[in-house]
Amino acid sequence: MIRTRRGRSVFKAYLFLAPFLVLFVFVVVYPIIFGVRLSLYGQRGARMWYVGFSNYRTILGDPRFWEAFKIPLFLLLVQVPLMIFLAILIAFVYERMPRGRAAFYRFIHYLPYTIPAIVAGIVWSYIFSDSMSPLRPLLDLLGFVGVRILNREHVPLVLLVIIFWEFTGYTAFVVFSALLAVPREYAEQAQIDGATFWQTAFFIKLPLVRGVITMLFIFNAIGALQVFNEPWMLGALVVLPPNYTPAMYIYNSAFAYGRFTYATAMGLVLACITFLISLYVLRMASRQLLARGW
Amino acid sequence: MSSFLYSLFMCILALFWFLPILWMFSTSFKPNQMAASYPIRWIPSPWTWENYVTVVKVGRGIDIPKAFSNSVIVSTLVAIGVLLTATPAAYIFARVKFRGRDILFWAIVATLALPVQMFYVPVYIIVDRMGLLDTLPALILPPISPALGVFLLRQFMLSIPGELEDAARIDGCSRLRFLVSIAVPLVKPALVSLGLITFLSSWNNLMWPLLVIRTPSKMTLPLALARFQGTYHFVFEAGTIMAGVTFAIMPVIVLFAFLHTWIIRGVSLSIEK
Repeated sequence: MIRTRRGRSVFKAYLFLAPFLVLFVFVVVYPIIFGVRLSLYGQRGARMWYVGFSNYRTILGDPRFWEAFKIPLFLLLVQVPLMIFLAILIAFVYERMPRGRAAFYRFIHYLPYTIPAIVAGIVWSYIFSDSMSPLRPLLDLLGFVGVRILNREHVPLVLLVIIFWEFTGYTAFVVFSALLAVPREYAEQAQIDGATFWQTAFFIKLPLVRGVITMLFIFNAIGALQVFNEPWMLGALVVLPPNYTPAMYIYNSAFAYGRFTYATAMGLVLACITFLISLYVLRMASRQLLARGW
Repeated sequence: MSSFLYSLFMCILALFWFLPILWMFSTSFKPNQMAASYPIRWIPSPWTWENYVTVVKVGRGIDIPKAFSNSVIVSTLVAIGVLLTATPAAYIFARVKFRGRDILFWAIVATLALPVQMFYVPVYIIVDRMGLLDTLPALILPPISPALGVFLLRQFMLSIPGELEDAARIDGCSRLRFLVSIAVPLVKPALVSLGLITFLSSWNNLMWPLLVIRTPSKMTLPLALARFQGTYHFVFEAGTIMAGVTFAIMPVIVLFAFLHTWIIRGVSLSIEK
């Protein structure tokens, strides 16, 4: 009797999972298996033949693929840490401010996240354009008369500014919502013991939301490795090579040069690299926490 | 004193975030020949609606209002699809023990680290074989990735006290009824946030529509805007380009203004409880 009830309950559990699992298999699992198979084939036009791991060997020796990682690496090492740090500061300032005013600023800061990357790209390409930048008078004032704003050397910085603009507010919002869950007594106790607001913030509250911070690092690292929209947009103003970022190289290989199987193999290599970096961030985070005795 | 410094800090940041939007907005009301003039007039004079007329009257064959409605349909269906499939699954992962549950859950979460680029070619070929290229279903189905939803919602489902469910079950409440009439209202803020994130990620997607859509009448907003910008002159028709862009994003900003206060209140309420 008990056994059948339990059996029925497990069966019902699968019924709840079924719609999700069907969708998941269809849009995630099957494409992965199909992609792995494709990556083992050579291709010219519509003709395909089995080549084993030959595509992967080519990728290992393809300098154009590895050069594409310069931009993600720059974003990963400079933009991501800076943005997360700034977002943490902003989240604490939200806490510090009167409620109404904080809500107003949160709204303004969050706005760019709701704007399609393509629109951000268009608007910022005006702001950095040589012909009609609103920054021009400011630059002239500082003595940079006639200096070109947007050339290829400046593109990484421009990308950094645009990505900052798009995601910092959202990131601050995520940190802020995590901070809301920190029991108020902890901070109160620390302040009774004589800690200042910022001491409490960084030594009491921040460690309590470390899980969220780690997740933010991982998601932003993944985003940096996949960056596509912003450089694609800037490509309309500055000549950028087809392999400016890994995502652009994969996209162009597949859909501009028609090398579908090679592009798929590159996608899988990019997936492995993303995985390793995510794991590394996770391990680093947990090791640091262990070292500090948490 | 320090409160003044904080306000200054926030103000400078807010300016950085808001000035591009303001510039976009004000340029969209300038006649094209005035758009590039210095010094910048933040309040356009003369003020004109002519740029918006061009956008609404489908100047040069790029139908932004149509693209807008396509985007609304596609993104809404994607968000609903994710919510409907992820909610019951997240509930099961949080509440029911079965063999291999944790392995299955973490395998699903691990797929979140996979770059989208990896999926383009295989999914493109699958969509092509199903004869769905250049149709709206091709835009709806492949980008529905419910994994993030399951991951986020499970966290919230875990916070529902187990005793609550036990009590309800003893009173003869089925799992489905518990989910629909007790669990869902409790995690409503999380559902709204997830719906919004999913909606926005579909709304902002450029690369996938770029691949599968050819027919102008089926284009989504990012695609239409990219073409719009390419069709009008960057400098001499900047006002028109800005009108197209403003027209496209304003409704979402307004909608978001309403939802935003609601989400914040939801999040803080659910935590204060």
